[in-house]
Amino acid sequence: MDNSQGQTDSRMSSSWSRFRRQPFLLTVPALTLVVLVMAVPLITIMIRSFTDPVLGFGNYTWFFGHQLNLTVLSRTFSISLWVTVSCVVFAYPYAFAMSVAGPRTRLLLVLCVLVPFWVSGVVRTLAWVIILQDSGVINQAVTWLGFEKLALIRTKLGVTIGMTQVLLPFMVMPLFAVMRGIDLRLIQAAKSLGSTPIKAFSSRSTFRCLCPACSPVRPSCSSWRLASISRRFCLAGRRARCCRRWCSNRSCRC
Amino acid sequence: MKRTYLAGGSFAFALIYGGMVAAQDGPVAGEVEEDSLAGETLTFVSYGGIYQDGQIKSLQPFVEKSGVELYSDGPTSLAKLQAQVESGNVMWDVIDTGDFLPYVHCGTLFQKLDFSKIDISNIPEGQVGECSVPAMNYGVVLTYNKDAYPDNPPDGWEDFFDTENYPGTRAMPGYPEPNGYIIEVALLKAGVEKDEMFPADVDLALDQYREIRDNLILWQTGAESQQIMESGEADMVIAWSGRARAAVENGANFEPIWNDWIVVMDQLTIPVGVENPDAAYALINAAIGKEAQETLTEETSYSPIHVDAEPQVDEMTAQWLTNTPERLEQGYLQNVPYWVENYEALSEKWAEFIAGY
Repeated sequence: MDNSQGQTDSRMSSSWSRFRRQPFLLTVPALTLVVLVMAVPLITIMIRSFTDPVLGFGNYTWFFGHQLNLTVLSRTFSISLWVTVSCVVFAYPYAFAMSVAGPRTRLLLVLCVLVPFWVSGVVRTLAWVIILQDSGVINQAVTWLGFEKLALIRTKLGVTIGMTQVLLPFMVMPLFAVMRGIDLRLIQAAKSLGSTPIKAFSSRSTFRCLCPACSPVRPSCSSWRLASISRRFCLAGRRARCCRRWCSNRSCRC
Repeated sequence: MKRTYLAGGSFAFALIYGGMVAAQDGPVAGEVEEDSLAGETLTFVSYGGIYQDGQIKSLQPFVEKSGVELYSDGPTSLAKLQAQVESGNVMWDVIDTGDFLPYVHCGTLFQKLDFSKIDISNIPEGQVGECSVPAMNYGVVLTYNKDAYPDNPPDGWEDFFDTENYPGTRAMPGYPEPNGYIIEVALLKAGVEKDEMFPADVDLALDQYREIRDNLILWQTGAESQQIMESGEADMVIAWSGRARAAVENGANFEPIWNDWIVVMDQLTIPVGVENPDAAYALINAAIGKEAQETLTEETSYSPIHVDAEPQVDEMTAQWLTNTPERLEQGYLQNVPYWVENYEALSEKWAEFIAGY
């Protein structure tokens, strides 16, 4: 009994250590799902676009030969672009606030993002209709104040507003996940070494948060990061002396 | 119930189109065997809102007796249906459609119906197609906000286009499947004579709407048209009669114009490739039963297609019934065969129009 238990344990620990050595294996179930429900249908459609109903570029000739299709396509892209831009504008400061807030405030902020996310799409859409329509809340207020009605609903602006709200959680949550992983003491350190708050914020987080792909993977040791970041701020703040002092007993140059 | 036993394929086929007398000894409209569909599931697709609610309610006795699990989906979409049929993965078992689709796509997207499995003996003449039976009869009406036009109310389709004498926002159907009547009323407004209308100049008709584009809202679903009336978003709305009734019942101060209201019907169909056609037939057979048709009328104000149906409607709903002699006198019949024949050309121009051209 004891013996077999021990065997299982050792087998488990060996498979765990394999996962640890090759974390890629852990993504296999998710990858399989994505391939099955995303990649396969997409590739099928791609192939069919050349073969259905007859082999050739017929579908593409038809598609690009009709002004209507091109208009719809360009409309799709322009709205996507606007929605992405406005999502970044709203989500970035919000995610930052979430990452610096205390636990209670953070919970509140998370709820504010997630609760609308859990509400059915139909309900949210109808809520936007009620707010944006010509006889809606905004336009009633606007006309009451003596201005002319705004064309909000059934316009690109209206669509952008609605889509931004719907898609905001998808921008806030990943940004928050990355920002939370950054040691906030870095900003303190930067400031203590003479950097202005804006500079401290921008150099530190824009690089790592806005572009998580660019953030360095290697330095997991926070003291190394602290040192290298502080050095950067020393230089940025034109405090060469400070830098020299910092580097005097380390292997770095100013 | 009167039953006649007949033999002979050609005569039976004539019956399908004539809808005269029941020839089967099998199904009786509205009846289903106890627990015959226990463990089965059916997905019924229609146009949502009060209409689908009414349909589901009318099917409740069928659901309880047959033991079937009934799911509801919608709104009906030709594109979605086509994707399902072509991929061989049909999830919709019975579909409620508008006038044209079952004729345009008969045998390709919609099954040719086996009339030994449904009892069509009580349906009025001329309403049964090769791929469809009627779901109910109703009307498309021009409705207007009484507050917007207190002194000089509009009284016909031409006023829909007259933004000078009747200022205000208009709303009309804008879903992807086109309607022939939309073209016909615009052509009449443009001065085309009724007997010289066909072949129809679709561009000329759509141009009439383009001229009032700035004042035009296109609604996608019946529920949206109802919402537009209830919120006062538009002053004139082309709407399905039952949705207009529901809006008025909810407090919208709207009035229908019965002069030249459009006589239309919805169709019940079974897509090609459904998993369990017999269950789908059973649902259709239940939906065209006397009791189900009565319930549907009481809930929606849409007219029953069972000749013996005697719905008990309140006074308010009675005003919206379209099968009274007076209403039938005022109705306008669109040229269904022509639009079925020319559906593709119409669809293409309609798609451009609703996309903003």
